[in-house]
Amino acid sequence: MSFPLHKLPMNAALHVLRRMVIHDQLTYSLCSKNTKRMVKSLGLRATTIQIIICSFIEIDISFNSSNSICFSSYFDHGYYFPDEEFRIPWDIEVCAWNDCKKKTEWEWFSANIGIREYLHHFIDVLQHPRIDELFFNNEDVHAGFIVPVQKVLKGLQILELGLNEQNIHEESVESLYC
Amino acid sequence: MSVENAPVVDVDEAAIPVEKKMYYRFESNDKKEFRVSELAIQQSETLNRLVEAMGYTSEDVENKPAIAIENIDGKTLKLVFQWCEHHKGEAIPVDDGSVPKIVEIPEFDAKLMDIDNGLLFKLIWAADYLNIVQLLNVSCKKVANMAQGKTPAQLRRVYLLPSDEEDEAAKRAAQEAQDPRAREVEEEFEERKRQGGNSFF
Repeated sequence: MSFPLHKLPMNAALHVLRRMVIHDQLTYSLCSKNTKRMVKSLGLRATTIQIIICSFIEIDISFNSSNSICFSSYFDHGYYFPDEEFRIPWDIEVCAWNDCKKKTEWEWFSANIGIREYLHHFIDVLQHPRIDELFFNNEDVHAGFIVPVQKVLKGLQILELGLNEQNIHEESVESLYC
Repeated sequence: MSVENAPVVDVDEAAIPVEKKMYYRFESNDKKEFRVSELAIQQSETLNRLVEAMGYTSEDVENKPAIAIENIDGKTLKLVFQWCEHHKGEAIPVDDGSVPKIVEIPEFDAKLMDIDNGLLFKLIWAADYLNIVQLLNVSCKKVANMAQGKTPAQLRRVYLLPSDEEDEAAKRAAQEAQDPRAREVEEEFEERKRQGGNSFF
C-alpha cells in the first residue's frame, strides 16, 4: 500500500524522515536528487567510512560502536577492465547492524550507478570527505586492480591503508604504494 | 494505627473545591461537532493558543457557535480528539534535535492508527496543522516504519516518490505560477533567438 510522502507539508515529511532508522534514511537518499537533499539536511554523521577490497568491493559506514551499514558488490577476480573502471554492478547487497546484531539484509538488482557513485553519494550525504581506511584483503588482489581502485577513490583523502600482507602479491604492494 | 481503628471524620463535601471541567466545542469542515476537555486541548499548541486568546467562559462555550476548524474533516478530527483525550495531562515532548528519533508507538495509538493510508495522511496533516507534537511523532513513526528494509525502487513505489524529472517539472510549474510574466518573457526571448535576433530590445 502506498503513502504519498511528498504531498505532506515539508515539516511533516521531514518528521517522517527523522523517524526512519539510519540505513533506511541512506536508502531513501538514493531515490532522487530531492530525497538526497532532504537526507543531507538531517545532518547525519558517520564515524568512519571504510573500503574493503577482496572478492568484492565493500563500502562500510559506521555510525557508532553498535550501528553500521555496508554496501557491497562482487566483481570477478582478474577480470579485464577495458576502461579501467569497475563495471556497474548488477546487484548491490546491503547489510545493516543495529546494536551489533545483523538487523536487516537486503539486495537490489539492476543498479544503475557504479560503486564510485555510491561512495561519493554517501560521502556527500554524510559530509564525511575522507576514507578512514582502505583495506586490501585477498590473495588475488594484483597490480591490475590498482588503477580501477584509484579511479573509484580519486580526489578523496585516505587516512589509513591496510594490507593483509600474508596474502597479497609483492608487486601488488609495490603498485599500491606508487 | 490500623485502618479499622482510624477516627471517622464528618466531611462537609460542599466545602471541598470541585475542579470545574470546561469543555470546548469545535466544528469540522463537514459540520460535525465535538466537545473536547480543556486539558485535552493542551496537547495542541494551536488550539490551546486559540482558546486562550478567545478567553471563553463556560457560558460562552455553550452560547456562542462552536469553534470552526475549516480544513479538517469530521472523521479526522474525531481521531485527533480521541487521541488528545486519551493523552490529556501528559507532558509534551521537546525536540532535542537528535536523529534518528527513537519513538515507541503505544498500544492505544497503534489501534487508533489502524486505518487506511488516506486517513493516516489526513491525520498527520492535522497533527502538523494543530501542532500536536506527540501525535505527529507516533503517526510519522508509523509512516517511517513502511521504509524498513526496502530497496530504493521499493521506496519509490511505497512513498510515490517523484523522479528527478517530475521534481524539476513541478519546480518549474511552481515558479511559473508565482510569476506568469517571467514565463512569457522567457518564451518571447526564445522565439527571438530562433528568429536569429540577438537583442531582446
